[in-house]
Amino acid sequence: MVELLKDQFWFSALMTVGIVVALLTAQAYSIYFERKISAWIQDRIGPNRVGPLGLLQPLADGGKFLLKEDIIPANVDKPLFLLAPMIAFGVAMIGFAVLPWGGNVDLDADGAVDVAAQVADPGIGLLYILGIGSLSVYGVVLGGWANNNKYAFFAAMRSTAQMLSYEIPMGMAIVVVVITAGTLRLEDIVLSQIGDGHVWNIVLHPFAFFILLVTLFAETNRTPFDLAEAEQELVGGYHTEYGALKFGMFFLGEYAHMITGSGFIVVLFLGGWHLPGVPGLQPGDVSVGAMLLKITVMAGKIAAFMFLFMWVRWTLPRFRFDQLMRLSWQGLLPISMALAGYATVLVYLGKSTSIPWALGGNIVLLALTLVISQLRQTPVTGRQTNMPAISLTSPAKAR
Amino acid sequence: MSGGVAGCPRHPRCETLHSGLGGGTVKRAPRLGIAWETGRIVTAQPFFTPYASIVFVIALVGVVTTAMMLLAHLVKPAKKGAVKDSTYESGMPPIGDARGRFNVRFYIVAMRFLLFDVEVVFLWPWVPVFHKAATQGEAVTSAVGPSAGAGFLLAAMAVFAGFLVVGFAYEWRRGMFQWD
Repeated sequence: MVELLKDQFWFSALMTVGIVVALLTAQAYSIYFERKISAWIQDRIGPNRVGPLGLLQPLADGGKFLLKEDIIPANVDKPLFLLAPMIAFGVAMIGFAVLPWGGNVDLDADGAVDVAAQVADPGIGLLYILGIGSLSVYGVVLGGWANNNKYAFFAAMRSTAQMLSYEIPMGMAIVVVVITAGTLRLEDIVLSQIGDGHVWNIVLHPFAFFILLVTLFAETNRTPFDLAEAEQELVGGYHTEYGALKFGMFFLGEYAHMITGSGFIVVLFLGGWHLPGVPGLQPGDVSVGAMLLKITVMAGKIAAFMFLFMWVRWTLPRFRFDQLMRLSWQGLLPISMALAGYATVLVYLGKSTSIPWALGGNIVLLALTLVISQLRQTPVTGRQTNMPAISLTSPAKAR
Repeated sequence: MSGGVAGCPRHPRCETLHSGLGGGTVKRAPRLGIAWETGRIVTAQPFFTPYASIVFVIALVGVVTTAMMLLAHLVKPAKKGAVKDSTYESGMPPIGDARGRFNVRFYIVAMRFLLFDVEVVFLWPWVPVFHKAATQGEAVTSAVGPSAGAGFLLAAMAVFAGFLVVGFAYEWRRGMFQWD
């Protein structure tokens, strides 16, 4: 058995099965925790009827999804209607394949590294994850189109424009990391943040980290960017006509997308499986125990980001569409272009790992952004010009 | 690190893995890149293995996804009806088709996306090459022209990005980013 697992392909296969099962469970429990956290934030109790503390709620939900009547409306585009949830769910589930979970492993404790605790380690892992991530727009677009429903169609249009707009600042923010690390291989990006004179990329480029985080919210259609399923204006958004497990697959796919996205940002900016100074979490630790510890740390960091996603969802209101577009094209895009250019110049000067240079530049750019955004008057949109001015302070004086 | 195991040209990780297996002679099968060591597939090939694993992931997820759809299809109750099967439009009888015209602004967003995304795509191969030239001082030799150092690479990208920035400023001035 150990002999077989020393073959990277079979080790990867075992990891794949393990991760797929873990992901399915994590998605189901993300929904539970989403409800629990929303209840906590809104001072309610949340699900507490099924099992102790409501912990069996995901099972009950799953059963309900499966047993609900699955209506396929008469005038939908049937092949695409069936394909869309499969794409939304499937694409979100295959992104994890290149995430580095636990570094190199020595399975039989003979002092030589046998396999890498990573499903696949191509030299272009980052491009793979970006490519798969941008495929997720097809689930939304095909779903919205196949529905043949006006609400769904509007949601699909909105969502496409949103995802496209935020993909470019995302790419630019990632360029900042790649130019600092000099590689597109995710494991090497993790290793480049470890060792003497190297720190996590969040210390070097916190502003780029923030931009990537914002674009990740937009890419996963989470509040404050959930215009694709704005229920007050678009009923259910792109999945208006979907029911039963097909809706469930869109729902689970969203959480899978969040988990993969969190893993991605952890690898790029937070050192992946690494914690500075903790024994067992260094590149030299290759025992099986160290691997499990590394996987736990990685999962813990991902869980922290999942909590952030939920926290933000139940705290912030939704953007208006013109604000959304302005934030991307006139805010994040020029800022991220400037950051990428600055990181490039730092590499040319040989200062790319110097904290004062990188961090200082980020702080200067942040200050510049704040000053410019204060000086620039927020543009008045066409619809607002026709509205009477409202005074918030004293209604009596306004008349 | 260099010049160690056959079949691992300048690839430290692969060499570690191979020497861990006893460092036997690794023969490389032509074209596919599978290496064989006394009859069995050797671990962690630099090129082929990761993609085999990715294919396995895609296949497994495909099977899981299809199984879920099939299971739901087999288990669900099904009672069709004319009203039940009609399009949902807030309870009113649906008016017309959903596939009408849509606002041209969405089309413009798509055009802009193409412009800028192509630029980002150009960046990806440039970034590792530039990093190598800047940190290790390795000049890049090109098939057509003279070899280029980090300074030349930076200048080339600056010109390319400069065109884009000018275009970006022009679009901004023309109010292309104004949604309303």
